[in-house]
Amino acid sequence: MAGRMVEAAERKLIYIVDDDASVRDSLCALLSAHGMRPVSFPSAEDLLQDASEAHAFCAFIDLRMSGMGGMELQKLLSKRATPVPVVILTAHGDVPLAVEAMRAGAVDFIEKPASEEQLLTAIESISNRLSNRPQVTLPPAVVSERLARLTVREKEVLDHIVLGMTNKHIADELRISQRTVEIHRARIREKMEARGLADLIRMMK
Amino acid sequence: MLNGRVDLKSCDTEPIHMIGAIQPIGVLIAVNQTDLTIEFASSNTEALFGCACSELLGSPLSVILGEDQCADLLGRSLKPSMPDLLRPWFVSVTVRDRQPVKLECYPHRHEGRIILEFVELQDGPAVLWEEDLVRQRIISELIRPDTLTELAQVGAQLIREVTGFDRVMIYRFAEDKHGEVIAESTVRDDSFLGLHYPASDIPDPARRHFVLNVIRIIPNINAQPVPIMTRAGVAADAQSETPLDLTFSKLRAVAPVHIEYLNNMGVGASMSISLISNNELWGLVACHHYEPLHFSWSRLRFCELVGGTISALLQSLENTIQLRHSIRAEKTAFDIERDARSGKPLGDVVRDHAETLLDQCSAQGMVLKLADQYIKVGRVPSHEIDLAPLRQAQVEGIATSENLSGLTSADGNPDVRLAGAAMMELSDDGEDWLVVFREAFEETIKWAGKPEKVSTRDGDGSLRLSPRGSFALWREERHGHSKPFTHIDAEILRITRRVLFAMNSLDRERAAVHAKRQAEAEEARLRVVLLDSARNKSLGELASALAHELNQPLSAVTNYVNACRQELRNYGVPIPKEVERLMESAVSESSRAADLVRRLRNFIGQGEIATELIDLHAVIRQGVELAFAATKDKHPRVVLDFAEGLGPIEADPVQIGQVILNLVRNSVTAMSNASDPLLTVSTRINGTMVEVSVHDTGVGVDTAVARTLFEPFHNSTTSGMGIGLSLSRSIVEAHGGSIWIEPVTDGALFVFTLRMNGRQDG
Repeated sequence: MAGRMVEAAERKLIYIVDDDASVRDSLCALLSAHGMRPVSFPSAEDLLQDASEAHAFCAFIDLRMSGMGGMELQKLLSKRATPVPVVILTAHGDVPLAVEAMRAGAVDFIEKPASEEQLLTAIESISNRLSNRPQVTLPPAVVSERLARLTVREKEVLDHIVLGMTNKHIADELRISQRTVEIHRARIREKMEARGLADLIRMMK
Repeated sequence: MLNGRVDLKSCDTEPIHMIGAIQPIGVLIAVNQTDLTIEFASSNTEALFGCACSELLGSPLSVILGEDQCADLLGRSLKPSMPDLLRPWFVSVTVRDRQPVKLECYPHRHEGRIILEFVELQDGPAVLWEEDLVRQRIISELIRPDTLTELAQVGAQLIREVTGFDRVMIYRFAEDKHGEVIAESTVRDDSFLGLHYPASDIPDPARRHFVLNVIRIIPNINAQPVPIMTRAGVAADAQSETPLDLTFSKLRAVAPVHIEYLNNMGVGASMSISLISNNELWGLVACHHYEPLHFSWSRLRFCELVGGTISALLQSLENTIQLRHSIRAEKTAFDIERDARSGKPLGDVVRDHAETLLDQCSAQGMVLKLADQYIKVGRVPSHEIDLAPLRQAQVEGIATSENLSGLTSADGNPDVRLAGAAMMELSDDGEDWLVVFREAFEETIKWAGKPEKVSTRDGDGSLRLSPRGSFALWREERHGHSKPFTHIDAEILRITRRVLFAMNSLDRERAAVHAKRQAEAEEARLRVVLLDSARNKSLGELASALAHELNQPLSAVTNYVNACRQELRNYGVPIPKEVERLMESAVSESSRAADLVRRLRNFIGQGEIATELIDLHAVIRQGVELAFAATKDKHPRVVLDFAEGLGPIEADPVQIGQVILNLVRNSVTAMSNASDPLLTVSTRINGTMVEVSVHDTGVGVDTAVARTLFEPFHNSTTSGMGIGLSLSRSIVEAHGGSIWIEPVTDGALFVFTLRMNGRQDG
């Protein structure tokens, strides 16, 4: 999965929208190094203005930006004739918002700072989907089988997790301690064989 | 009492002082006051003087009285006193060469004439006041009573015994002029005691005469009157060219209507003595005899003296009674004030003293209104009563009515059992008042007499000129009326209102002070809460900002290192194991730093968003209020321009309130030196979003600063707009909205958006 040389023509066009210049620049550097063709924009408006015709492989969009926010941009891009898959990046841990973005059609969300693996996996899963290869999305049967492993309480916690609720919020809601929620969360991740929240959301969609 | 309208129904069309005749109990001569020429003479001069009136008319007065007595006459005080008293002048009349006749003369000057009335000097036990018994009784009995009715009773009895009248009654006139028999001494079986009769029974001209003349005697009701002739040889009545004004005449003939009235009762002789108190006609001593009754003028003068004495005693008694009532009212007022000042609410105090207050006001029920509180005691109307007419009739905060039905609207259907009311205003704003209610008069007043035994002449339809007819008429007139409110009542009401008004003001003042203290305490509490929340929010914001600010460069570092490693591979540069390890460390340390930041933020706790359906406009108002409470700067004018039809939106009221608070606080600070600070907060619906704008007329925001305004810890961030704006941004964005500053020519315009359908609804 590690980087390999790719011909320029095959290079994937990837939009990067972030109002932080160094984040933009570093992400461009990383994606370039992995053979992509990143084009960055400091704001949603800039992208909409300058990149209206280009066909992009996907877009990495920061959730919070002054002016038009990431969510809104994602909606616009998903409505295009050839929808642009969107990966939401967030520096705030705005999980509930990110969850919402996923429900609205974003393929993934990644909390900053993102690991190299998270970024590349996100791109790979889009790539798989576009080429009709076996998807990261699991068949329902598998999901059901995994869900069956959960206790009633764990299922309850999972229902809350996929809403994007924080541990504290879930703890308040279920009247249990935060620590217990953390344990449940770890067990759920284990039993569901999920790497993170995004996986869980995808499974529970 | 004298300036009411003349009731022509019960009064002869002829003015009674122009009747042009006297009773046949004396002789009247009237002369020109300058030359003493006889201008008028009653037609019966022959009997007393021995010469016909036609002989006397045109002659000088001296033909009767002689020069000396004429000079004596001019030296006398001839002006009628007020009221006029009997001032006898004992004269000797010598006409031509006849024997001198000793007579009593009552002369007075009126309208340029001197009117002389001659009566026979009667012998016998004339000097009544020399009788020890009578003198003793006046001293021992008359001055003893301390109630009006007792005094009246003693007076009636005394006069009856001295004069020999069959019946002596004492009438008292109420303020509405209706009369009541309050005392009676009689030898007859029937009684008029307790009888009421309407004001119209004594027409105003008659009342005028009662005030001007203390005493009036009619020894024989049906005696033929004697006409007074003019020099032209006609009766000097109202129809003649030169009528003679008999206002102060003692012998004036009786008006036909009065003759009828007395005849209806079978009265043959009557006497009246006016009781005048404080220059007003207080009442009347009315004496009836069922046959003609003649007695000497000296006895008449004695009656006048007794009447005057009774009047004086009445006045003193009445003043005493009023004083007693006032003292009682003052005492109650004092008690009320003492209780109210002890801290008891006024409503409770009034309830405690209700019985006394009602008794004092001769009322049977009361309604007290204090703010929203209604306190009812005793008999009160069963339905709402329109008090507006009473209120309009107020003089110095008090209005009375003895006829509520006349005050309520026609469809008001007043409580028939309650007829009168007195209203006392207890606050300047008309919000608080006390109304006491009086029962209908007919409920409380019964004539103790037996009207069926009163002899009345029937057949001529003049029932109404009889005591029974009068009482029936009076009852009819009084229907729906209460006992009238007298000037004593007015005084009691005044005293009562004074204390209640004062105590109510005290209550209100107390309440106001209390409310102010509470408001101050609330404001202080708000400040504390605000400060506290600002501190917590700042810390939360600090954590959030740290997370954001540090995560960005950490992201960049991780990306750069990863990119670097990848590029090295791309270029086929073998990466020594040691370098690989260093690069891996750089990435994992970045990750550790990010983790630390995340834990710090979780530890401090970023205010979590707890959304509910909120009224955004209410939240905005609250936020503005909070900002004003928190600032020492002068408050600007505020214009709230809210979008119509904005329903509840899903948001965190505390957090959104915080955003408003931050923006408004910044605005107020920015306008601290503005001449006319104006803050406009408006909302506008824009698609699925609601747009909130906060516009001030302050110093504005520098363009350079505007770019980084919402970023925390930025160099350009000034003290005034510190972390608040970045916090606001966090909150707004966490709600799925955005915040920005719009360029304007005046002041600053901050705008943020919120979703109308809440966060969950994509």
